[in-house]
Amino acid sequence: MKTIDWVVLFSWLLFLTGFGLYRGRGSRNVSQFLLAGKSMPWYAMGLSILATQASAITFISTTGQGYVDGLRFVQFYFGLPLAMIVISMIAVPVFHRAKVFTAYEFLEARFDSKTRALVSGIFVIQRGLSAGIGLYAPAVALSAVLGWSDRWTTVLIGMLVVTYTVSGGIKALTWADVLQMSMIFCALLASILVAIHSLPKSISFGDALHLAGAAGRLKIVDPKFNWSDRYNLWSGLIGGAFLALAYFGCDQSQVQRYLTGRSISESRLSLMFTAIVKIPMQAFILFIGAMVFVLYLFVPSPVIFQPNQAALAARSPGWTKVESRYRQAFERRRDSAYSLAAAARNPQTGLTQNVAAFRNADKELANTRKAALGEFDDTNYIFLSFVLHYLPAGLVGLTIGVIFSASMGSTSGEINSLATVSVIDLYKRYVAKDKSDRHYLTASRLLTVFWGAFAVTFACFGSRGFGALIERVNIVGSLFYGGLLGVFVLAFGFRHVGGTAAFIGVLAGEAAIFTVAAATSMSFLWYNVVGCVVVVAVALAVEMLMGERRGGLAAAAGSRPPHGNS
Amino acid sequence: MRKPIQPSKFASIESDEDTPPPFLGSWKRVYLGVVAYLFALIVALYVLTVEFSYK
Repeated sequence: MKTIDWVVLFSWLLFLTGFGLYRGRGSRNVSQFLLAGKSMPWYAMGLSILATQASAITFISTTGQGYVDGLRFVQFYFGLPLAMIVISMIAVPVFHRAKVFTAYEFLEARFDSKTRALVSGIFVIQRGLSAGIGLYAPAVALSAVLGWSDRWTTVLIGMLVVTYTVSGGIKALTWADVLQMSMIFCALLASILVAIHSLPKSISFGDALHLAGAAGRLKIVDPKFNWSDRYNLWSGLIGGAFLALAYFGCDQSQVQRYLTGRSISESRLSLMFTAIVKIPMQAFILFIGAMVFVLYLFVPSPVIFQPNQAALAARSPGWTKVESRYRQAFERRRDSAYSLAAAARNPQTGLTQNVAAFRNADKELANTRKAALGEFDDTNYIFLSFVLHYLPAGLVGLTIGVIFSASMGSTSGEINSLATVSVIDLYKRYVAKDKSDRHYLTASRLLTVFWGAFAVTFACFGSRGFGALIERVNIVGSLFYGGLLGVFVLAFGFRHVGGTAAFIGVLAGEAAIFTVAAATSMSFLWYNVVGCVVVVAVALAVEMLMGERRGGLAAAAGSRPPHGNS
Repeated sequence: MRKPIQPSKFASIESDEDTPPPFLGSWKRVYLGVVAYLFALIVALYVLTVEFSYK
């Protein structure tokens, strides 16, 4: 990176932190600190919801996934708009009118304290774990590219996030998210324009689409049903809807966003905004990856995108031969890509043969890389490599800054929601009841610092050796979301079910999910369906048995003589 | 012991009709609009898939 890029990067990070501090001023009570005094407009909540999900690793990985696998991952989001409608119809009015700080507070009002404590505990474990991993993953990628220690990168992100979240609470982080998402859209737009502009003069945008299609990068919708296939239309619509229902309806890091709305309408509008924007946004990010793939059909890409590994490989004996073989395979693929682009413009010139030749050349290049590197995966470095090599000076610093802030946005949302659940559902409920508002405000700030420190410590030490697990964050989430969703379905849909039945149902649902995950090859998107169905079925069965028992006892009591002691 | 609260105690979807959305007149129409949008989006992406898929 050039000096101008460093200046832009640090200016952006400082400006963002200052902006968060400025907009978050005046949070002087618990309601203002945790729910922004219910004052937020719909567009700020909507952008904040998007920012909380758009972590840096999603940003980096999604473009990499578009490069390697095309746009089919977008099917994962097809169920999201349906889930948003259900939440907007049912959950938003209930949460608003219940005047709760957390979704789990409602569970005690509806069921009992043990169900609330169990679900709060599940949330704290799951979200606490992912906050650490979410901070670690982008720090590793960014530090490799910038040449920094990943610990310093983690500490830098953590300190900036904690600074404005402790000071201004959810108001600060929501307004910071608004700024971040605006800049993310700008950086994405600049990236796609640069990728297309960098193509050779003879290759038009239409040619690029044909090449991406021939390479399988534009296989977006797969209508065939398959339990084991992770991404198809049906797993996206059904499994994705369940996952989104659980995530947006039961995960405090999301629920808290729309609880800050100044009215039910504002909260509903923020969810409808997310429902409309999310799929095109994800498709666009994946499409950038596909266009970077097309660009690298014509300009040589590095054999290894990960800079540290590339430097190590360059020192190993025999690497020159590997590079030479890779270069030859690249040139054959480039020539076949030119021929295919010409054939696509004039289909009479043997389009089918050209497609076959191009695919063979692409496969040969992939095999050459695999023969040299084995199963080595550096997908997460593809976009960063593109940014550093192709974006103009200044824009490089801004894009890297945007990736940093994406990590900050998701982490701030996570530590804020963890602090909220810790204070409202655990500390205030079990440790220090009936204290002053000032006391709980101080506790909220201290617990924000605690969860920030926990995330940084976990990222610095606990995540080491868990590199492969980073890509499994969504799978880990799915292990818990089915149980959470099930208990909320019971709360909203089955009025006769009581606390004990719901509690046993959640335990049974979690046991079922872990069993399915360990014993079958079912795609993780279906775990949410399985968990939710088991929670509801077991709770209904337990409630029925308890009802019969209560009925039997009542009947026995009713059959006694009126005065009992005869 | 606190008596459990039933969802019906809070409010139903219909009772929120006093705060209609700023467009389309009612929330039902907004939801139908989002479903129609999702359907159109999936169809458009499917057409794109077919258009750029090669045997």
